[in-house]
Amino acid sequence: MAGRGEVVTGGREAYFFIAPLLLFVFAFIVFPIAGTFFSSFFSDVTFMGKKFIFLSNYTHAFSDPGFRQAFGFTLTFIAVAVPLELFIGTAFAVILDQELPLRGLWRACVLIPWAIPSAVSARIWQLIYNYGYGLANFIAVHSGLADGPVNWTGTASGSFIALLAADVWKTAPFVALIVLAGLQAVPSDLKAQARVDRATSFQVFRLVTLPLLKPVLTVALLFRTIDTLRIFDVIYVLTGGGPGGSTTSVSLYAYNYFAGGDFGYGSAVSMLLFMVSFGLSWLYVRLAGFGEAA
Amino acid sequence: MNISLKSLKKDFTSARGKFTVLDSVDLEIKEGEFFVLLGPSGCGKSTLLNLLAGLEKPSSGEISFGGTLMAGPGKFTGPRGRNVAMVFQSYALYPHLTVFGNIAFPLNIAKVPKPEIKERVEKAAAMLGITALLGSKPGELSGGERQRVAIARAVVRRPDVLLFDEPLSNLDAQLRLATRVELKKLQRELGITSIYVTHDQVEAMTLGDRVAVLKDGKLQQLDTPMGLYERPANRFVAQFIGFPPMNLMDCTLTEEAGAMAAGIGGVRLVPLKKPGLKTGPASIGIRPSDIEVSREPVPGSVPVRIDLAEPLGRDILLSFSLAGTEVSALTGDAGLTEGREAHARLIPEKVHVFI
Amino acid sequence: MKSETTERILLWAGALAMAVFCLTPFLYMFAVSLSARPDQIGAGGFTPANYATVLGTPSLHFLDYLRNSLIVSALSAIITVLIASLAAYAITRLEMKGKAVVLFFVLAVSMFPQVSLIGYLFKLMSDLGLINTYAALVAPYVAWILPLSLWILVSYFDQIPRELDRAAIVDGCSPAQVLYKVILPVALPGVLSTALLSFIFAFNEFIFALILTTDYSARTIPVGIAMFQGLHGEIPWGNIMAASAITTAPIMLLTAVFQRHIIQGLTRGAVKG
Repeated sequence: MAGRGEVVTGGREAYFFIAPLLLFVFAFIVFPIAGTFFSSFFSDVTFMGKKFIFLSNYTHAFSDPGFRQAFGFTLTFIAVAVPLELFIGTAFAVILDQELPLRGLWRACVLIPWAIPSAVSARIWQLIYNYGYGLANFIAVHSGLADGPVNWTGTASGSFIALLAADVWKTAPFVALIVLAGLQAVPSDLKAQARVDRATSFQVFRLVTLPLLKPVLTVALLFRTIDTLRIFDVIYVLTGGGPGGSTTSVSLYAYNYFAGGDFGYGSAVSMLLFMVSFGLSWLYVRLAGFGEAA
Repeated sequence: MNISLKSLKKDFTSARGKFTVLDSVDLEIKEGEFFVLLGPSGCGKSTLLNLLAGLEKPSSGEISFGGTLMAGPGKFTGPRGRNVAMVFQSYALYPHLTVFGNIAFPLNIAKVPKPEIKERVEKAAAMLGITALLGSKPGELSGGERQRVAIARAVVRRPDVLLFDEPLSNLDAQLRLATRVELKKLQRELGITSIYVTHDQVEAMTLGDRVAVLKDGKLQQLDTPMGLYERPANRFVAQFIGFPPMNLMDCTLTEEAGAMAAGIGGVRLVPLKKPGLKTGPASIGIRPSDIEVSREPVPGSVPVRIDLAEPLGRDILLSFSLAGTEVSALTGDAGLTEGREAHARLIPEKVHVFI
Repeated sequence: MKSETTERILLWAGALAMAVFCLTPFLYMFAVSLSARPDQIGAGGFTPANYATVLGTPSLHFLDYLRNSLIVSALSAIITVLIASLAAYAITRLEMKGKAVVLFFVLAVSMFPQVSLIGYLFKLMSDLGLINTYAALVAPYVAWILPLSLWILVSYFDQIPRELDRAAIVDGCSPAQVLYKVILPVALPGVLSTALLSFIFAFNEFIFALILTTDYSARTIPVGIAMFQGLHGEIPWGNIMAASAITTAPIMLLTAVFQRHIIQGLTRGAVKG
């Protein structure tokens, strides 16, 4: 980036311009992470005093069934939700990429689920899953898909599906936008050439567009994985992590300890989450940086 | 304001290592002069302009304006401390401001009182014939109009030095010609020392009081336009200046009875009148207009066969092989058509010898 | 051509399915919010009663939450864009070592799980006596949204020709003047869409607000709606949906109007690499 043809304005000025950014990021993100890391070596429960216990919080976490359940749930949820988001998001992107009248309106449609607070949309979904009069049971019963009303948030599998729908609904639009940007970067000459070569629309997509979308899809996959790893809002509002902790994510599990005043153990759990997330972020940055390095 | 450059050097460091863009350039630019920097792309001429503007810092060497050191060991004055104005290739008009706002911009930055700004902007606009455009945005203007706004913005500050970075290269051919004439006139009227960067030798020849030819960061020759044309210092300048370009031929200098001559592979081409030449390999250069092509042999001519005859209007550009070297010559004789046998003579007085 | 007709039909079917998928929850929300009882939508006609309750009952604090959200989000967006503009200018225009490091460091930071910050932030804000104030929210929000803003602004600033700032410098501008007299006005659409995105991000934030606020004097809308309890036992779905509708309607409108800017900003921030 630096080098030839750059206007001379001293290096010191540049640091002055960038200082506020670094100040905020260090004060409210990097130091908190360091602080959390530090706390994770202590037994630190409100009103009980602090005690250095080194790795005990971590060893406890590995044998803690609650943590294992939360970790297992989070991974399972990622494994199911992320591919679904990518599939639906890509489908939306392909539709949005076509010549439709009122293009802007269709795009706004897709954008709206993304744009509103997930805590608010989670409340709407909560009502949709209401046992007695929610929309989900209304449709399930009247269409004959179910014999009677389904107890969505009362069972582990029901809760999982409920969360899945609410989360995919909220995040597929984001994937759609990224993939749409990727689609629009595919040279139209290439598609026209494939057309001339008598490929069908589906063949054009499979043989020309999809391979060119691979980098964009990889970025979306990683980004969605990292983001789903820290899933919190929807679960907190929609199922509260229940029933029986079956839909508690690692974030929610750590939050419950913080909220209960156990900062030491909460810190250890959130540091474990941080480390997994950091590894994936590193991979993401490597991939994102790949195009930049040239 | 006169400008003096002493062993000016500029290095850049990139991923591929360090390279020198300007190498020990010494120049004296006179007060009120229209000075042209000419060279192919990548020769360092734009870097030199940026150094003059203060947009870049030299790696070593000195720049003085009117005897005041602007850049040198331990000293560097940025653009704000030099009263220079610049006209850019892309015009670099501020798209969010009107034409008035663009021309007034440097005066606003210098905190000139509002009534004076208005007066000076209107005067500059009138001088360039763009008064009617003062309320428009740059996006609504044609290329030529934008060009005028850029020039008005540069002259409105009454700078000590005017810098032009290929300002005509984005105009179409006809407009370029007209603007060239006006620019020269304007510079004469204002009498501001001007430095003009271009890769177009015609522009350089028509505009410049003096022209400095640059190649690979090194100064090749500094002379008046006619001086460059008549006495090119080396092969590069010889071929760069003039159109169609000068013919260059590798040949051998021989001496017969005290008289020097140039020949190729035993064919004696032309006697040489210049003193102080030594026998051995050399190149000779001759402009296409200095080769006489005739239907019948004349003394000192060499028989040739015309490969190509391209009409240029008044003249016809002939291409043929002269003792194995492809050369071109200008003729007025429309009878010299492709495939014809003819006779070419190099005018001895017009031959340049490069060792 | 038969296959073309089939394709058109498939396309329209897909587009309609997409719209139904995206909009049904909102239509449902509006329907319930306008009904007297959530279990009998539209029975006995529609009524604005729920809206009246939500807006007219001070003890529900809905308007407090809304005001808090608007102030916190607006402050966060403005501060973020200011700081990010300075940094984006340095990164795109000034001579500085480690630009790529800053960009990618900041990108990595934005991927951190928020839960790993809240313990420390809660203690910090408690020590500073800032719990349940706007400052407690705005400061971490700014830090949290900065990476995205920076990436978007860098991509917008990158598109402005370098000759423009060279012209400004020759015309006598200091670096700060180049930024606010030339770069910012020229990149105005990009700056506005960055501000809009920052606002949406701050407006939607949940977990910081959950742990750093304790009541209506600073609590924001997402937390307020998530914790909305009726005055009497049963969950007041009608009220909640009315509150949600009032909250989401402006965002839906903004999104519809500025969809092009939002999409441009988002995809620049996300796909750039």
